Amino acid sequence: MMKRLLCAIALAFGLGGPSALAQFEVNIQEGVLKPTPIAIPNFESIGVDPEVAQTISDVVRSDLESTGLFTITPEDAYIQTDLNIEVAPRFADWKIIQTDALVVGTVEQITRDGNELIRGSVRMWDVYGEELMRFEDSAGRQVSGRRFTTTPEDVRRIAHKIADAIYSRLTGEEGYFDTRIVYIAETGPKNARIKRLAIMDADGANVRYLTSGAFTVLTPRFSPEAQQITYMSYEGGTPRVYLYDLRRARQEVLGNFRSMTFAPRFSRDGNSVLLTQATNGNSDIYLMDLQTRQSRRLTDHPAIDTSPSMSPDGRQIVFNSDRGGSPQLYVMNTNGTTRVCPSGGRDIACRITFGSGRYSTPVWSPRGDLIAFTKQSRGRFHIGVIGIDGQGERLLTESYLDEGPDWSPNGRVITFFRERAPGASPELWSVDLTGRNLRRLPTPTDASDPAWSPLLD
Amino acid sequence: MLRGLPASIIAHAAVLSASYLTFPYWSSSSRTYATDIQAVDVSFAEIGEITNIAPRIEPEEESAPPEPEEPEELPEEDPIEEELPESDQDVTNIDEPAADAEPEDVLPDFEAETPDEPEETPEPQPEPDLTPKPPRDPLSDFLNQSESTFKSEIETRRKRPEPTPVPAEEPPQTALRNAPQPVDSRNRRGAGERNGNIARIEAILYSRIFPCWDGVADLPYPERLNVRMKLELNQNGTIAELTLVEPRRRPVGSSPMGTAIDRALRAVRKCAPYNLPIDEYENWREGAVNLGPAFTPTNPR
Repeated sequence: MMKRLLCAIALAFGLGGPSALAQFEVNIQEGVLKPTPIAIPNFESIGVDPEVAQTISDVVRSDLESTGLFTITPEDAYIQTDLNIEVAPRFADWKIIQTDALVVGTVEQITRDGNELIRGSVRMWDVYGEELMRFEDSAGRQVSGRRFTTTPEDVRRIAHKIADAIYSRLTGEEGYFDTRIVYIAETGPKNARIKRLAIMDADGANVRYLTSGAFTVLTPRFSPEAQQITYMSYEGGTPRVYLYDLRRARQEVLGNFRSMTFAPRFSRDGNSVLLTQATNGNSDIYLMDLQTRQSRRLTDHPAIDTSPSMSPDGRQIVFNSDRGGSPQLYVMNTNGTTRVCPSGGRDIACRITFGSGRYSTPVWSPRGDLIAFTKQSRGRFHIGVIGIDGQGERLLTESYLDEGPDWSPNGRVITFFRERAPGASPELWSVDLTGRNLRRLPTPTDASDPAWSPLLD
Repeated sequence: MLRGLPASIIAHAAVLSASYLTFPYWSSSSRTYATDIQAVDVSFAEIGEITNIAPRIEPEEESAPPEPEEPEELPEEDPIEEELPESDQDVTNIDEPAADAEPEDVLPDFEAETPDEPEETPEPQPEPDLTPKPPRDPLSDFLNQSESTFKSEIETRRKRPEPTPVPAEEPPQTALRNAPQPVDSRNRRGAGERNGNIARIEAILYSRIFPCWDGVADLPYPERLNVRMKLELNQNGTIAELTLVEPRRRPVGSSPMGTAIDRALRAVRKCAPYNLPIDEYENWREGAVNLGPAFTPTNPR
């Protein structure tokens, strides 16, 4: 009894047991954001021209590197070269070269029903966790790898889809590589400019022209839900808003407005189009239902109201108006009801920008929390973002002319066009939401007014 | 005595030889067993402490990947409706891809044959003991448990291997010198050298993990992306175990929280091994690592 009592006393005084173990606690609030090192060795070609595998590997690497969120481990740093998609790599070999993730892939040719197809497959490894990184497939299932099949003409799309899968797995956000950008291709002298509607893959490949250039077209916008584009065209003399169906290659005038219409933009569900109608020097915003083709007037003010953009939930719009004396951004309920403004008062439309300068071309983020805009201040142009309550304005770019922002479908990147100096050619650019990774998008001609498509099916 | 020894050896050898020769002919009924089993002192080591190497799947052992169970569907040749633009339209046709990259094929799972999770078989219920039991004495129970715990702790300490030499990747002194000095009194659990040492350990770990963590500032709603982990270290500074505490597991699929968890785990793993003073192992054997905007820094910069 005495012995047991001594044991209990010993425990109580911390001479043994887990409770005696000292425990540290390390709290870290902010990290050091830096690109994630990722290795993407050339995909193994199986029964297919190695050039095809090389192309797909190159496009995947290029897509990911273009985000600024990843650094691609150079091939000459590899220690292990005998990779196999069905075999775990030697993790130690990849830790030495400080690679966080390793992508192993194959490209093969298969035949189905007499059709020759290309199939790309990938798996990704967490080098430090020493485990397979599972993906979520298009049906929402957890899978150990991704595999896409298509015709030989579309191998780049396999690469974009693979890059989207990797991006999504590593960032937690949807990718944006398997998308397109529609823009205005400009050729000819400044005083006789030919402006055509053009479309290209998000990385600048596969440029195609949708209009011949006989009529000037401006401000194209992609439908978030369908392969449709809306834009303004001078065809027929009077500027009007048109709707273009990419699959059917047909365009039509939108609505039966008596006067000019311009600055169109789809609602987030793609079922309606916001546009501006100018009558007798005054312009107001309308919402047209694409099914019924009925339009509803949203603003009724003697000032110029234009450039509307709808919130993702469809309940609000942001637009540009000079009703306060200079072009500023305003937010209103789509149903036209009175709302409480950030300034404290109540009004139908609430001003959200109060900085010096002129604000224009607002575009609501697909995430819903930010509005991108063009700002002109002190002779310079900026692309910026601001909270929907007017808080947290951040200018992301600055140049002689930066204009026309539009969001990537995941709300992570903004594309716009830039003229670097007076008389310089317009170019397409993109910038990350954080203001980092400012990049020029290659186009074969001068280019302006870019608009991003949703992810392709 | 010395004369007896050769005789004894010869006698034993004779008996053993006879036993060896006649052994196959013994009947089972006449088999005998030794009863005086000699006790052999065996010490057990934690396998995890000495074999922290993930098995690599050797190529030759890899079986061929199974064919997809379901036949892959041919991507629909999506014939574009080749309607020519109306004559009054300023439109040219667009070459849509003949076939989309969808539908996605199913890549066979990495493990050629994943055995189903063994169903948990219920433990057999013990037969009810119908014999009346004496009334339990709480004090006796407590003392019994204490004695058992104490013995177990003594045994554990006795069996614990000697500290392994720390790899000379970075001298601990350098880490100490470079580590930001802790100012958070919250972690000084009472005055004294012991807690001062813990604070010093925390400073070292902070300085090591900080540059390895990418943070979550670039992810949507970063204020919600806080990750608590439990870190257990071996004496050589390698990770014995790293487990999620909150959230308890990674959410399925791609999500900001999934990415935050990936980054947090990777940061701790990437910075290992942790070179810490061996003689203070009890202070850094295990602890918490919390990464996220909600956590007040251990060592504000």
